[in-house]
Amino acid sequence: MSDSKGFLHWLFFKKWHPVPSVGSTIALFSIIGVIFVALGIVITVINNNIQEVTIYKYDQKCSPVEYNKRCSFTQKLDNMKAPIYFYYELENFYQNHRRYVKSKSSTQLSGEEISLSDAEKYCDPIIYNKDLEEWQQNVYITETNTLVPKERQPDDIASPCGLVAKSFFNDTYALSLQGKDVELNQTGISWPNDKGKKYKRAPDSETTQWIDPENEHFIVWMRTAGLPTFRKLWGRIEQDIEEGEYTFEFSNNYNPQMFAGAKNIVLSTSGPFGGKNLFLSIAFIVVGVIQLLIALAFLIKKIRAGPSFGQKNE
Amino acid sequence: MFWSKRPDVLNQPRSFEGNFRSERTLEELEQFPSNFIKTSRYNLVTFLPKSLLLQFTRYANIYFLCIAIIQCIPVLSTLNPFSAIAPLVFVLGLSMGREGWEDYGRHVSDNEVNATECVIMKSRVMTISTWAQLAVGDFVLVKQDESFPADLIVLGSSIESGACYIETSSLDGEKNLKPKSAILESQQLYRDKSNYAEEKVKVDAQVPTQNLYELDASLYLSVGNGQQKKFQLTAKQLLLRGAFLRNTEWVIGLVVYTGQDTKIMRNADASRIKTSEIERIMNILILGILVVQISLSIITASFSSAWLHKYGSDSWYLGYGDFQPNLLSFYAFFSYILLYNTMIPISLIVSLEFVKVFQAYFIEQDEEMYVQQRDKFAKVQTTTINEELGQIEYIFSDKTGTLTCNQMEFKYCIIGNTLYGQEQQHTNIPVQNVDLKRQQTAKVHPATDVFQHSVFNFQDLELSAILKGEGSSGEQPVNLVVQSLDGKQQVKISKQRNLIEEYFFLLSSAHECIVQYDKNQNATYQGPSPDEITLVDAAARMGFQFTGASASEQKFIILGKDKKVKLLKSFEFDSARKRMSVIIDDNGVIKLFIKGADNIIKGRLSPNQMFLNQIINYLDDFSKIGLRCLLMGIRILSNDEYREFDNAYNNLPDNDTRAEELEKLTNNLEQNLTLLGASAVEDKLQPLVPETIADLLKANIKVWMLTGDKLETAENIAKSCRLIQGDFTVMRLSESSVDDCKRKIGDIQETYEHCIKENRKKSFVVEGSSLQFVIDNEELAQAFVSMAKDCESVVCCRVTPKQKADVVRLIKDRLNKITLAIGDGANDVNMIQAAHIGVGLYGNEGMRAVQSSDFALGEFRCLWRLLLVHGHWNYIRIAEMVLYFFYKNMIFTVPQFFFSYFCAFSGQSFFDDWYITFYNLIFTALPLIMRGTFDQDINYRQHIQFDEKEEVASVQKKFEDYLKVKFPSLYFIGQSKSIFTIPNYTLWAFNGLVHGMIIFFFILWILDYEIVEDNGFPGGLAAFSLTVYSSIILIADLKIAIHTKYWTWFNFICITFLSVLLYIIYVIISQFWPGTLMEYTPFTMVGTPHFWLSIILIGGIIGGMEAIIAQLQREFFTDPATEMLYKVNDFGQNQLKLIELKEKNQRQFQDSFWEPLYKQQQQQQQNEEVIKFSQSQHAE
Repeated sequence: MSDSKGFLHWLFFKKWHPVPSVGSTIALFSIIGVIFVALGIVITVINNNIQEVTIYKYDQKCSPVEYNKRCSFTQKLDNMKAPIYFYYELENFYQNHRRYVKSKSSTQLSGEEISLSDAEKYCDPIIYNKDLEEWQQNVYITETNTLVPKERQPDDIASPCGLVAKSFFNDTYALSLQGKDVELNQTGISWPNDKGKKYKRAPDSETTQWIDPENEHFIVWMRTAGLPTFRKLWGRIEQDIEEGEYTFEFSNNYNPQMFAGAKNIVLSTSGPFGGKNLFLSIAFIVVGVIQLLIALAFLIKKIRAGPSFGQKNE
Repeated sequence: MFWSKRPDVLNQPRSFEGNFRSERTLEELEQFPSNFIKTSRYNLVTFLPKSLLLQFTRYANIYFLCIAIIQCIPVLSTLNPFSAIAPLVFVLGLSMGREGWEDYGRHVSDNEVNATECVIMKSRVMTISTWAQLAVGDFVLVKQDESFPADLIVLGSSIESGACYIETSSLDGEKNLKPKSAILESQQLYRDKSNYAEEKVKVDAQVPTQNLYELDASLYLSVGNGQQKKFQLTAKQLLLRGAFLRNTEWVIGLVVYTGQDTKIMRNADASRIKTSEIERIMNILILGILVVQISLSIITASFSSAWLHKYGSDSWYLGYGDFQPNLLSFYAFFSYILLYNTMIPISLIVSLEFVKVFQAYFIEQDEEMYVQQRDKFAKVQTTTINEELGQIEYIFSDKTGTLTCNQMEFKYCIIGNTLYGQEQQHTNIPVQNVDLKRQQTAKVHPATDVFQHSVFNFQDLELSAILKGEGSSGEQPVNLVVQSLDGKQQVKISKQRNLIEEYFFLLSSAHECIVQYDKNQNATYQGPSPDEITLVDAAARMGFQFTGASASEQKFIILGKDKKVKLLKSFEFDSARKRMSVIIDDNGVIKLFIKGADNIIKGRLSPNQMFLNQIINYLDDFSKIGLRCLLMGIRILSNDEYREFDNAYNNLPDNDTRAEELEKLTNNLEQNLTLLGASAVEDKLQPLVPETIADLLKANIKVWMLTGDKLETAENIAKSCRLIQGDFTVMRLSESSVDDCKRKIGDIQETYEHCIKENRKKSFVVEGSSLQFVIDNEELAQAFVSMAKDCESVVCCRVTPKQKADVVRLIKDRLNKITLAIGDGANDVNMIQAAHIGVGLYGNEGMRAVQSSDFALGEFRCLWRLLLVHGHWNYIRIAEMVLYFFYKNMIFTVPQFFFSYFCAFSGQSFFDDWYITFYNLIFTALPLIMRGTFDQDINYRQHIQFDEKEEVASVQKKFEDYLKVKFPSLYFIGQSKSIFTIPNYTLWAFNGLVHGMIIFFFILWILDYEIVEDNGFPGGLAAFSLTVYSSIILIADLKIAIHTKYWTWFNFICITFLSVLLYIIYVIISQFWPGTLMEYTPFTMVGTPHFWLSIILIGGIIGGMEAIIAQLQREFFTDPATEMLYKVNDFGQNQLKLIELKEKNQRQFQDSFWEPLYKQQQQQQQNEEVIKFSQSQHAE
């Protein structure tokens, strides 16, 4: 190869032909094993500091079980450190159903008007106001989740349209300890950038839209879940709470029996790696230990078989 | 172009009259094809539909079109239609673009050719016209160095005798001039280009054929009184379209074939598309996957139906108005067809094409396959079968020009009873680029001196003395009387000197060579075969110089005196006749000079030959050392005899049987010969042929040599090129009847079984006639093949070109093994085309072999590198690439499949549309292509540059030499098809399944409905999908990195930058891509620990699994390449350490490890010595 081709030559022919040896395998496995076990231990320690309380089927705690009514129950909670995240959890709700996922107009949600044909294309089968739930038809839900009555034409294009918006989860919660309210901060619960970018309120939101797309509960709802059982953040308790009997008051609006599922409340603290995750800690430790064992097995075999191990026929 | 009724081709005999004015009615025009040539396939209007149609003859494209159509139906489509159309358009666009570009080139050259000017004679006036306007019957004037616009019959030439010379390099690649000639009578009429008689000329011509050397036509010329006389025309009168007129001022020709009827167009074959074995299996696998895809879709659709029936009506949030679960699950079926479509590798075919083109590029760039002598690198003409180079089991090799140089040396001549030429020095031809290893061939020097067919080192003092008229041995009496059959004419040769003169005169007269003079007026000879040139050249150097010929005359300078003789007839050499003869009128004595193969001439001698016994004795000796021998004979014809023959010749029937009749006629004439002497010419072996063959045999490739030589010569050449080695048992089959053949085969079978029992190496030698019985007789064929297939080498001698191809087919069809045929001459073309892989050598016998081959090489030795190195690598590369492709599509599709369970079998895509499209098209494409181009399991070249320190360099060299000697033993990997097998495929697919499941479920369990961030956000579909996708990219790259054995910077760049970096860039883009699933997800997700923990965990698990499997494989299964590298690395390193330690005392340690290498080298040296010894012994 002539000098002018030097660079290409270097690029194509300067080569590294790794010949893996037993020694390098042992070293590799040991290092990875140690890192994994260490990570696993760290995660376990963190996990142990994370508290998580799940209140299953809270709607069943009302007596009688009725919907579209306010209702309350009490629940004993331990000491928890702030921030404590307040989630609602739905079971057997396929937010990832194909028909459901695609039934929304991202143009409309980003604050622009859409044509009827676009509405039909993207939002089918929920296109007009009349296709919405009855309680959604003559109302405006503000950013702070308050309902303002509003007259609407049933044949106008619903804004936001589509199945995801229509099935908006509208239970609300309040928490108190012995009559003293525990504040549930409902801002900053949506994914960063979602609010104001992906979801923007239309210029004349109040007259044309039935819900403000910058309503964070709405934004949280619109970010569809990956699995049929999912949690969504509803609020944050920004103070430590003490042990005690807490009263959960909620508007029991959403009926899980309509999709043969259930709705739960989850309270959880979080650590630097997020929420409690037993699988993660176990997986890291198990994988790490296996790798260390493999390294050990190789080491023992190498010592016993002498230096010829790994270099057959020599 | 205007619409015309003119036919494209006319496959009919034709009869037409010369049209002196070049004026025709429309009706006359429409009789023959136009000379307008269209090689282009499309025009602006037809391009799109036609080339699209061509694309959709590929099944894969039809399939992907169907997918794209389904994707465009909104009810069924789960994905953005563009994401399916884009890759299809990309792939089609690429192919169509190439097609269009090539066609544009054809248009340009067509236009150029059609608009080329030529001169039509209209009423004896030169009129400028274009090629396109020519029509059958036109008179055309062609000047020196112009090319012929159509196939012409030469009527007249500027050379008085009517001769003219053409160069046909554009047709058959032959650079030498071919003599053509007008028949005497027409030359009389057309000797003056501006003043010829416009008297009626008529031609009857046969159906146009593609044989360049055939013309079957007759010419009717006016001979006064309105009468016409018929003259038979031969190829000698045919000027071919595309050929050039040389050494002749002008010719006048009559257009006989135009346009598509011309020989050049008839020879333009459509290029063959070869499909390799791997691709064939791959297509079957793709079909299999299609079945899997459909079954999975059916399964998912039935689950969908079950779910819908159970929950569908309950799920109010899905807003089913008119709820039709069966219809919905029917839709789901199509939706899942689309989603599981990722299992079928759309880009595999395109990627393979790319890889093969790149591989071909590196084959063409390989300096170790550069042949300085011819200034040729290897050339790849069929890029689709690179990997089959690594799977060859049988090589069929031509001998002349392939194993041997086709460079002849005039060694001995026997004249009468005396042998001359024993005193010549052993000066060899200049040492060629013998060293296969890296030498600084870096700078490419074009070969400066022209290749010479003949080498002349002949020296014989006695002979020279006789020719000078000195010495007494010339005066020895011979007393040979040669008589015509009727006794009317006779020639007496009384002394040895006369005999010698007659002998050399024969050599300088009986041939088909022409003379060319260079600037210094040195004569060089050009001719159809190197043997012939060598003999004419030898005669010239002995003082019998042939100085030129015309259609009717030969000129000589004999021992300083000019001499002219009348050339009456000349019968050409061909492989069936194996002889050539001329009839000359030498001062009133009509002589037939003939030279030919010994067995042919022997059978034609008149009884009582004076010299026969002695000559036969010598010939036996010659053939033992592989010399090519010809016998020279003479016959005297009386005038009556000749006249009789001439009449018969002129009255040959003008139809299909003509050739046959002519053959009979000449056969009768070439009898009753008198033997004058013989010549022995040495055919030199090409450099490194024995070494290459030995290595090929070591690689368990069976090498068959097919040659036209006689049995003894062939066997000897086979011995000298180590095709038959000392410890081989040789079995010979050379019988003249079927029954004998059967008996002999029975005997051979016994020997053969004996060899098998004792595990001895064996070689089979078969002669052409026996071979014909074998080919024709099923029983014999089976017996032959069953034995020959296991012989280390087989030699077939005295075979015709057709038999060569038959032998190849015998093996190819019966054994289903991959075959390679290598040859250099036109006689090898059949064989080259019959084999799986055809290799043509740039030889001295024209370019026909190269033109019809898949790979073209400069020398036989390049085969070593082409097969054992490139073939070996390419097989591994392609096989592993295909496996990997299925794997990477598997890990990508498995999550999609399992996700269907979690999304109620609704047909929701797990990944964002464009992520799916780019997965195969971009993110995983390049690293794979690079690996397919560069990976090497092992390379004997371990150092780009040797160390400066001599001692270190010597160890490094040994190191490389050792690897190189061992290299052929790795060839079995491709030969036994050990990588791309169904079990391996299943293993890789299973691997993909497991990895896909690990990725999907582990990430499911990690993310689940968990808080993914310390701000408390849960994940969601987009986050889940992104994490899984990123892990897949990581695993896909990790897997390819683990399986890359040979890292160049380019691999590294491709994996890091062109895969991972591109992915990162795309992730960034997708953050802002409105309306997609991923919008505003990546930035946040990348900031979460869960994302990274998932990826680390997945990487650790799968990486660990792969590493442990690889390690166990190394422990329990032998990978010969790695083992070799181990050994050599360890040893090399120890050596280097020792050098460092004992720089001054290095003689103290011993070289036991390199012993095999030395043994081999010693063996080689010994063998070479044996060969030299046998040669020198003979020369004594």
